Amino acid sequence: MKLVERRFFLKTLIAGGIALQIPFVYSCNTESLDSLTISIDNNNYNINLSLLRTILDILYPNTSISPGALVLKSDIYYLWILKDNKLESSKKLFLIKNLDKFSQFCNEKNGKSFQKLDKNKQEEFIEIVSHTNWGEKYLSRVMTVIIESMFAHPVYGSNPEKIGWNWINYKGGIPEPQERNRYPEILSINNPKS
Amino acid sequence: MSNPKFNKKKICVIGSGAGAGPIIYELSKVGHQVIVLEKGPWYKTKDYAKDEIALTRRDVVTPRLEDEPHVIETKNGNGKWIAKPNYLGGQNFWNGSVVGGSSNFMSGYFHRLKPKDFRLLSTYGKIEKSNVVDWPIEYKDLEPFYDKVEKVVGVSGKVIKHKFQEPRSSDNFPFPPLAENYASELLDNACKKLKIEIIPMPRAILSKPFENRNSCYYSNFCGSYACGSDAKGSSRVALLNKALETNNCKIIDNAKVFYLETKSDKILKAHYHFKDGKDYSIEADIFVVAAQAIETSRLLLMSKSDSFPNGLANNNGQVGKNLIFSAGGIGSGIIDYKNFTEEDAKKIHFPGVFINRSIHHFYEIEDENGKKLKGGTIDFLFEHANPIGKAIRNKWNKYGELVYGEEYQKKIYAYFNKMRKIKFEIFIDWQPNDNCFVSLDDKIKDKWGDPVARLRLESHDHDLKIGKILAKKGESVLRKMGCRRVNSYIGTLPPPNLQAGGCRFGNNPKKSVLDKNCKAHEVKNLYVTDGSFMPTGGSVTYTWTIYANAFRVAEHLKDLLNR
Repeated sequence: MKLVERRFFLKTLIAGGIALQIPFVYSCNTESLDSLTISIDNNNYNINLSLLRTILDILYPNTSISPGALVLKSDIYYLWILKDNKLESSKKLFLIKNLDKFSQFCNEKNGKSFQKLDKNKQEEFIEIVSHTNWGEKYLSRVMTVIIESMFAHPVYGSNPEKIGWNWINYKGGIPEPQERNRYPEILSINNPKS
Repeated sequence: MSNPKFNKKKICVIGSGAGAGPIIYELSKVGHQVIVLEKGPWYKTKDYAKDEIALTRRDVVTPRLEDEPHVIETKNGNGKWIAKPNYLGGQNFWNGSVVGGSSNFMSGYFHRLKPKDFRLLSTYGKIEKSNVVDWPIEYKDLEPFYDKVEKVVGVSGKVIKHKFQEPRSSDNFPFPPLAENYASELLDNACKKLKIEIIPMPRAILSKPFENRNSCYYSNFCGSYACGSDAKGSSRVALLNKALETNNCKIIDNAKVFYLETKSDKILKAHYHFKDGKDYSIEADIFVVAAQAIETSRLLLMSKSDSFPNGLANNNGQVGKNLIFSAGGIGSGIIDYKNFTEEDAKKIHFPGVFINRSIHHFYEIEDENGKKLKGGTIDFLFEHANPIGKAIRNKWNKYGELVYGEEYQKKIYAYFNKMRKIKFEIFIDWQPNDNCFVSLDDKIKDKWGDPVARLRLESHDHDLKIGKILAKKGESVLRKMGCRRVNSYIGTLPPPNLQAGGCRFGNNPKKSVLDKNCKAHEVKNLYVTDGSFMPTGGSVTYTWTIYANAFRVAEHLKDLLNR
C-alpha cells in the first residue's frame, strides 16, 4: 500500500470509530501521521500528533543517559490511553483538550505553532507552561504517560525490547504478562460480560 | 457420606477471602455442601503476571469507581460533614474483588494479637470519645486457631523470645524464615545499639514446598501482586483449591449478592446479580457473610424486611457502627550506596529477598506521667519494586516543581542505581468512635441500581499521639542505620486495605451484632466471619486474626451441625 493510500485508509477507519482498537495501536505504524481523529462518547476529536511528539521530545529527550520518549514509543502509548474503553472519558478528554490548549496558548504567546519554534524557544515555552496551573497539571500527566510507557512491559506496545528497563538496570518480574492477560484483556478472562 | 448419621447441610458463603476461606475449607472437608458466591471473577494463578500496569495502575482486580463507588463523608475545616462519591476523588476502599479476595495481593506480614488486645478496656481504661470494649473471647480461645493457620495456610519465620511475645502452643513456625537482605543485618545492629528488641517478621509465605504449593521464588513482586508459585497463603490457594478437591464445594464467581431474604428470624435465600445480567437466588441452611467489613455491613443494611426494617440483624442499630481501620502511618529513609563498600552496596541492591524485621518493643508504652498506654508495631520493608510508581514519585523536586528532561533522567537513574529506599509501617489501634461507620447512601447507586455504602470517617486524636511516638522510634532506627532523608507521616486517613468492625461481636445483644461465635444475635442462621466482628483491631495487620477466627467459627459450626 502506498503511503498516501495508507494514510487515507487509516484516517478513514479512525474517523469511523472502528479502527483504533488497541491491537491496531500495537500493530500499526502511526509515525507517518501528523494527526488522528479519535471518537470518545460519540464525539470526534482531532489529535495533533506532530505537536504531541514535539512536546514528548522536550519533556523526555533522547540523551546519552536515557532513550527518549519517541524511542520509547510514548506517543503510541498516549494514543492507547485515549482509546482505552475501560478508562473514564474525563481522563481521556483531559489529555485531548489540554493538548489543544497547549497549541492555542503557544500560538497566542508566540504567533506560531510550537513545532515551528526553535529548540531553545520550545524549552523556554515548556518552562512557562509548567508554571501555569493548567500547564503544570497537563505536563505532569504527560510525564506520567511517558513514565508508564517507559516502564510498562513491551506487551503494551511501548518500551520496545525493554530499552526502558535496561537503562535503569531493571529486570521486571516473572511471570511476565502476555497478550492474553495484559490489561484490558485480563478483564475478559472468565468474565464474558466485561 | 459413609457415616449414615451424618446430617449434610447446605452452607452459602458470601465472599471468598480470608474470612471465608476457613469456613469453606473446613465445612466442605467434613462433607457439607458449600456454595460460594463471589462478586468478582475467578482468576487462577496462571492468569496473573507481574504486570505493574494491570495490577497497580488500572482497575483489574477492583471495580471501576464509576460502576461501584463509595460515598465518603469527611469533616471540612469548619467542622461540617461533607459527602462525595469517591469517583470524584478520594480513597478507594475496594481491595480485591476476585476469588480469594484481597488475600491474593497481601504482603503476608503476619502477626498475632497479644493477650492484652482482647482486654483493652480492662487493661488501659476508657479513652474519651472512644468506644473501646473488651472482646467476648480471650487470647487462649483463639491461640489454637492461630496455630492452625500456621500449619494449614503456612507461616514461615523464627520464634524469638521478646518482652511482648504471645504464648504459643507450638515451639516454632512450621516453615523456616525466608531469605533475607543484608539490610536486615544493618537493622539488627542499629537496634542493638539503641537497645530496642527487633524480631524476624513471620510471613504467610512458604519457604519450602508444601503439598501442591511451591516455595517462594523471590520474584521481587509480592504486595499488590498474586503469587506465581502459590507460596503466598491466599485463601484461594491455601484453602479454596483444597475445598474444591472434596467435590463438596462450588464457587460461583461474578455473583454479586444484593439481598438476604428472611422469614421471621431466619434467612431463606441469598439473591445475587450474575454475569449474564440476570438475578438468581440460592437457598441454604446456614449463611456466612464475609465480603470485607464495609460491604458486609452494606449487605446487611440492604437486606430489609418486616422483621428487620432497618436492615438484617440491625434492630439495635449497631450494623455498620464502630468501623475500624489500622491506625498509624509510614516512614522511610534512603540507604545511600556511597556510604558502603561496593560489595555491601551490591548486597543491599540485591532484589527479591526480604527485610522481614518487626519491632514489637513498643507494644505497650508509658506517657509522661508513667501511665501505661497501648502502643504498636513497626514493620520494616523495602519500597516495592514497581518502577512506574517509583519514577512517578520522583517527578517533583524539593520545591514541588515538575522535573523533566535530562535533569529528571539523571535523578531517576541515581534513584534506581545508587540508593535504595527502606520504609517502615506503623500499626496501632484505631479508636472505634461514633463518627466512623457505614450506612447506605440515599442517592448514589451502583451499576446494578443498588444503594452504595456511605462511609463517615473520623480518626481519634489519641491515635495520632501514639502514632507519632512510634514514628520517632522508627526514625531513630533508620538514622542509626545510616539512612539519610529520614522522615515519617502519621495521618488521619484510614488505610483502605486494613478495614474491620461494623458488626461487632459481644455478649450484650443490645450493643453488638454478633455473639461470641460470630452468629448474629437476631438471626438463627447468619454468621459473619470477615474482620467485621472485631471490636478493636490490635496493633498489627488483621489477616492472621481473621483467618484464625474464621477457623474458630468453622469449628463451632462443625460441632453445631453434627448435633
